[in-house]
Amino acid sequence: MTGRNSGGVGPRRLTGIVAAATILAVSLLGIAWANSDKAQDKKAAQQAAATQPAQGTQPAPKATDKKVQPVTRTIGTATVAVDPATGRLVPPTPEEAAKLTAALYKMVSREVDDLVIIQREDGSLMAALDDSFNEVAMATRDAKGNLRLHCIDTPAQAQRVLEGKANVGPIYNEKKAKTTGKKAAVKPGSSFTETE
Amino acid sequence: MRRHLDAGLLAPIALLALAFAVLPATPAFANANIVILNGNAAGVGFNDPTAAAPVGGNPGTTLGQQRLNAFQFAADIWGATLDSNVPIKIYATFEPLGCNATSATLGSAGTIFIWSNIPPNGPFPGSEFPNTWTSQALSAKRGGTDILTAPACSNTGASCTTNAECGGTGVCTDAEIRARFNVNLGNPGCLTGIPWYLGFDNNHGPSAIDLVTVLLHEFGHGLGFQQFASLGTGALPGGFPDVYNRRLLDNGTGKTWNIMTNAERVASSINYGHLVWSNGQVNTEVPGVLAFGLPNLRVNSPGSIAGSYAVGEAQFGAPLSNTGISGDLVQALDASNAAGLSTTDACTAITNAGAVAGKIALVDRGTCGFIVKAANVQAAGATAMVVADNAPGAPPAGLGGVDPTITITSVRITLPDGNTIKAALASNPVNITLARDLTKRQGADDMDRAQFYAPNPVVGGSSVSHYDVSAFPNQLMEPNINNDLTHNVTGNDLTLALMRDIGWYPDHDVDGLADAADNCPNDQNVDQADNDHDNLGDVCDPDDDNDGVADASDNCPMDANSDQANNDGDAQGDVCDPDDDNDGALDGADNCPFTSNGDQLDTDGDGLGNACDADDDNDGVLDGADNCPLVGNFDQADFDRDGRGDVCDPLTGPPQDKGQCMNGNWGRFNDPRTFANQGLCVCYVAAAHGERCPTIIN
Repeated sequence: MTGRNSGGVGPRRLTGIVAAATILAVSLLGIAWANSDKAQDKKAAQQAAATQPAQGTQPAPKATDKKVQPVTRTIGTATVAVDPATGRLVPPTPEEAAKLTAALYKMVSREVDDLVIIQREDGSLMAALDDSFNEVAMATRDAKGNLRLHCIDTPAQAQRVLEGKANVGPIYNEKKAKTTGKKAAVKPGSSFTETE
Repeated sequence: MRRHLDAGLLAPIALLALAFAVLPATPAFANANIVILNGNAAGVGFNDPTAAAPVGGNPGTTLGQQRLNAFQFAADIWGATLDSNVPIKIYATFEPLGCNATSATLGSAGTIFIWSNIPPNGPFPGSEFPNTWTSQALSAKRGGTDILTAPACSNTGASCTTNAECGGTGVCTDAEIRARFNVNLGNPGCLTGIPWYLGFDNNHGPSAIDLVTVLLHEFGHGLGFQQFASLGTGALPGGFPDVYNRRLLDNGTGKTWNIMTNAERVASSINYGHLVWSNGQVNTEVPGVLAFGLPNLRVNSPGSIAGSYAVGEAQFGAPLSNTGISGDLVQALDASNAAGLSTTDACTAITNAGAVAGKIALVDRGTCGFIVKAANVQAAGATAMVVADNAPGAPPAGLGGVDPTITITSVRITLPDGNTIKAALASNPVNITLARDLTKRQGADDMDRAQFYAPNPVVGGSSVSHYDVSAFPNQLMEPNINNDLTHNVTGNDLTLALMRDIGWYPDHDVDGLADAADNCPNDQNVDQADNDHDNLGDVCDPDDDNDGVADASDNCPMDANSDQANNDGDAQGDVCDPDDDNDGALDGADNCPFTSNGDQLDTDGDGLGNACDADDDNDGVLDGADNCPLVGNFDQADFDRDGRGDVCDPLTGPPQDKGQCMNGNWGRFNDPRTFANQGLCVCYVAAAHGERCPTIIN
């Protein structure tokens, strides 16, 4: 255990100030980005505006002009490629995709031995999880179009899903099964299914 | 109440104000106030300005608004279910996450810090167990305060003011939960064509994924439905268990995870069917939630292997029934050929059809599809098919495939179970029944303890931190997010029960006292004052003195006075009125507390004011009959018989001369007479004493 006394933690107001400062910084970055986007080709902007999402769902992006070199933007904690003409996200390059996959594995790496544990003045202990003990929802679609949703928490499980090896379990996009029965109710979709 | 913190669209000054606004005093009667901290920059994620039509109850008119609304909708569902006086902050972003054309990371959530040894804080109990981890949100609830009093680095826990201070991987935050969701979902190359459904009504259809359902599941993990041991090594953070894995029991070893060795925990995490909840609310609710009818292969004979064996069900053919199919098991044989080298894989026509007909066929998994095997044994006249797995693993997976011509029931059993049955079959007939076991609940062990997911080997769904996939009705916190889940974390679901068991005790008024021990569970009353000791605290007791008169109309609400006596007619009943006669003299010092006597006159000094003293001169003659009520004259002597005793009659006694008489004359009478007017002198003749004019010679 790594012991460290956090000592004089600041008053609550400091929390608000720091939060505000952080948000302000993020906001300014975003505003700057938004402004730069506005300066793009008016026609492209009109095309982007005309791309209305299907009702209640995210809009599918328009095909990206491959002649236009994407620029990178920071969204959340990830750096991604953005089509400067449309302002829309473009599919990641293999390198970017590899980074996203690595980030996914890190989110569920659960390195127990590396955790920093702090003893606080009131006797409590705090462990910083380093964003590595997440539970992650993933989806996979098999060749027949069957969609399955899994919640995973290890890199091995994540890898199975990304490699399409987790095409087992109840099918999400099939008709909803009845959930009650007078006697023995039948669990819809069974637990796992394989065809051979 | 909805609180969003939009970091991308608002002016800096407004942002400053809002930043403070997310840290308000908790509303008195909130359950849990879950705040979404929008971590996206302007123009993307939650701030995406793309126009969108309101859908499924989500009123947002931009994509970003709808995303944020869906987040808050899910947060509010949890907020209405759990109780905490500390706002729970979820730092959330919509951002690119790993995906490809056919698979995608949907989103993640997790507590940012875990805590132990939270000290009690007034009525707030602190940690339930020493040296036991809990999620940050739960720790704050039990500590009754925002335990992370200043932002800290997510990777080191050090106090910080900026992300830069945290190094490359950490962020500086005071949030309880981190959540990321995939901004690219449905885009080309990211589970192409399957976007989020952002409505509130769960009407996602077959071509979209319901965001709210996924959020409810992942938020559940972030709030504490999660264990923190390493599943690879079994190690515990800092050597401490957590509140979740303290209750994980391996019913094979009889040990809970907190007393296992690391190796035992690893083994338990893949001990399918044996990882259960040890005790508590979850198991109490199991009978009311989980349905009977566990799919089952029961060996009826021989006795040496008799018992129940887990099965995986088939998507084709007749489903398992309650009554089931019974019969002898026969190993189906086929030719070893290009379709399948094994003679037990049933990949081609069955060669021992005569033996199989009318029996239940046993075949091995491998080489060809399950529907091929089923078709072959069905053609041979089998009444059902049992497929023995050819690879280790539990639970036995289901049998996939579509062939409407197959009518027989098929199941799969595990490799070891298959070997056990085959060994017996080599020397004895084996009689089995394939049926739903109406004595066993789906998702619970024989003692009705909820089972947790412990597949062997690990498959595509996280283990241990979820209920088992056999649970039915489907549970929100199964590793597979099912399409029949509702937007509800209570009801026919064991999720909330587990939250209770790990320490999210019900505290509706968030005063720190658990509802079960709170004499006013819906009203904050830390002092638990209960005037009439009826176990209903004063702040919620409509009759605080239990006298049958409601407080609202009781002239003494804290003192029993069912008669409502009120001597002076003021607003306070006598039992609680400090001045019952309203004369300005408080009852304790008032010589007539119920009779107004501001002068406190007490002639005889006996402590009873004249106003209420029946014998003001204390001479033994009550005032009403006393000819001198204010002067003691127990003999009541009244010489002149005018009704005023001599001691108080200034004109009494015999006149000294006739001049004292008003009429200047004496009267003479033969009997005593009383004259009201002293001035009328009198003499009289008394029979015993002769003429009485004692001092006047006549």
